[in-house]
Amino acid sequence: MTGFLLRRLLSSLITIWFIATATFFVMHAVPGDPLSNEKAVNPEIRRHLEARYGLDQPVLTQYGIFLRNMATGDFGISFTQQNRRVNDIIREHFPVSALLGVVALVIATLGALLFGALSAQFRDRWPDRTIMLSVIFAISVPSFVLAALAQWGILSLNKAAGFTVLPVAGWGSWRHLIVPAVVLGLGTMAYMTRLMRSSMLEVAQADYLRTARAKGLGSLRIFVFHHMRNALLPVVTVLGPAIAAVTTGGFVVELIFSIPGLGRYFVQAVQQLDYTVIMGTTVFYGAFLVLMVMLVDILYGLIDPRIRVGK
Amino acid sequence: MSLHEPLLSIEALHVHIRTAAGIVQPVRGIDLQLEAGETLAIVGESGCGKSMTALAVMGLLPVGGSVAAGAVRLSGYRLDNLTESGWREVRGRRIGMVFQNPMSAFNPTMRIGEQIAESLVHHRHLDWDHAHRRAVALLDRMRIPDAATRAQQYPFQFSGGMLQRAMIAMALACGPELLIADEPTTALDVSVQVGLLELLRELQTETGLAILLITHDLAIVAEIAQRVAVMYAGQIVEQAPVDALFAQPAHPYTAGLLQSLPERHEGAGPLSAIAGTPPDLLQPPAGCAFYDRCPAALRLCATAAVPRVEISATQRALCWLRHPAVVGSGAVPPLAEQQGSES
Repeated sequence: MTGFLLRRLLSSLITIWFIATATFFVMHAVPGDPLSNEKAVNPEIRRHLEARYGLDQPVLTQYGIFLRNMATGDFGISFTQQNRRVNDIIREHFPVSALLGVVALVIATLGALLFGALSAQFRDRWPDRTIMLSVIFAISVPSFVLAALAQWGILSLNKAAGFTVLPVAGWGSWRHLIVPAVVLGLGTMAYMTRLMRSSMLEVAQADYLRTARAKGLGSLRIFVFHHMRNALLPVVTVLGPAIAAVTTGGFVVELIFSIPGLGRYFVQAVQQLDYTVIMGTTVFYGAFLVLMVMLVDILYGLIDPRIRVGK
Repeated sequence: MSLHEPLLSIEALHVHIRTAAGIVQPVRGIDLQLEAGETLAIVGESGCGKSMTALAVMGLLPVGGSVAAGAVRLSGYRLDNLTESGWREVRGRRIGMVFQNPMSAFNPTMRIGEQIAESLVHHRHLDWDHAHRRAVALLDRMRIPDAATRAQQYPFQFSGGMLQRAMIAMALACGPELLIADEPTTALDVSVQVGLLELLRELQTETGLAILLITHDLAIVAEIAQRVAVMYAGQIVEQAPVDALFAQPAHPYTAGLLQSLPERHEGAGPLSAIAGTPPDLLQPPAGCAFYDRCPAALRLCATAAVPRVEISATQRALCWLRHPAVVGSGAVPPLAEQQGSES
């Protein structure tokens, strides 16, 4: 287990370095730079600014400086926002994104387990058909459309109730959180529901399930310990990509619901070619995802003894 | 009829399975009796209905499958019309079952000891601690070395032979009177097979367990069974004590099976096989199901319902060739000669 963890940690570091490098060179390959936004920059001033930010150095030197700062956890200062350090932006706004993401993921996972198991249990009957139809809807409709629909729904609800049952946008209480979290998690939930359903159906055919029935066990024990437990394995593997989907999907949902998360700054930074913010947030998100995928691997090992226990 | 009830009694059992193509009839009216402490083998090729018979006795027919007619009784107690909760009292507690492929018959995410113990907790209402100790003792009894450590391991850490022993331990955990073993040795090496059969025999003398052995391997039948039922296309075509069956097969299909045994093959040349394939059980034939492949078939075999002929007090066959009316007419030479002239 320790060896496994060390290997995972090493490959995670390499992945993060790769993400950082790729981001750096892609950013420098993009035409324009953060200073080209300023109107009518006097060449003299421009030269001074470039020197000030180190943009006059050869690219490889800049890369070296960037890596050194990255390694010490210093993401630099924003080009476009006065006197804001990228570290501060992340520190202030990431917890908001993280809370939204975690709640969305929990809703998605629990919903997927419930609906997936239900539709497998009622295969080809109306609960299954209803769920599978909704799944297709939730997978195909993009989250910004869902978000708009949800806001329209909240408006109608509030109008019908005569008071604010749920706020349409903003941030502050669990009532602000619940609808964006559902919207954000819905696509992932739909995808995982399909997976859970097919996994449940596959395990239903397994020899060991027949063995369990041949032992005369109670149906609840068979369902939980023999059926569900084994059906969970493939679902757990997609938790990693699911976290990625929820994290990146959060950019759009945060924007629509006016949630002060990190996503908004990321989108803004890309529009303004704010090098430090883009690279800082990208590397940060990359590292976060790599860490999450590693946690999922560990979780998988906890469920599946074939991974946890060496032969 | 005597007052005596056999342990297991299968009476005119018909199994139907609904499929997209129509109703398949894998079991078409079989009669079997099994006494306590006895070993009865059901032999036949794949698809002859032997496994379906076993599953019907356990109430574990696949989706779409049902007992269409007939009855299954355990010590006189009717099983085939039980409710699901009624079945749960029988399965594992009164009838244990060992499946063909031990590698896939265990839950891969549960420790072996727990899989044995859960039966004891469920049927015998033991607490988990006690049940675990019993599980270890059972594994030890099945001659699994270092049982205490092994009980803590998962199926993937076991070898095939050891898993099959563990499965027997699991099937026998609650002390059933009947063990159904469906191809218990098929997935195992020959050297491991022998040990397993010895173990089964030992357990039988010790506990008076009855064994219903499903197999296609006549060598195993000779090794362990007292009586044999030969199944073909959903029917029992011959039933006899092992010695009688091997010495004097009464049905041409049995004779063909024995002829295709490598041990019985004499001289060079290829092994003999029974030509043709079994009939389609979506539309079972009206006459004898073996008609197309039978070397000695008569014209009436194609259409007339086949009679069950008592060869002796213990041997019977489903065949016109052995019917007194046919034998008396002198139209048919003895079976051995036919088989000889065939090649």
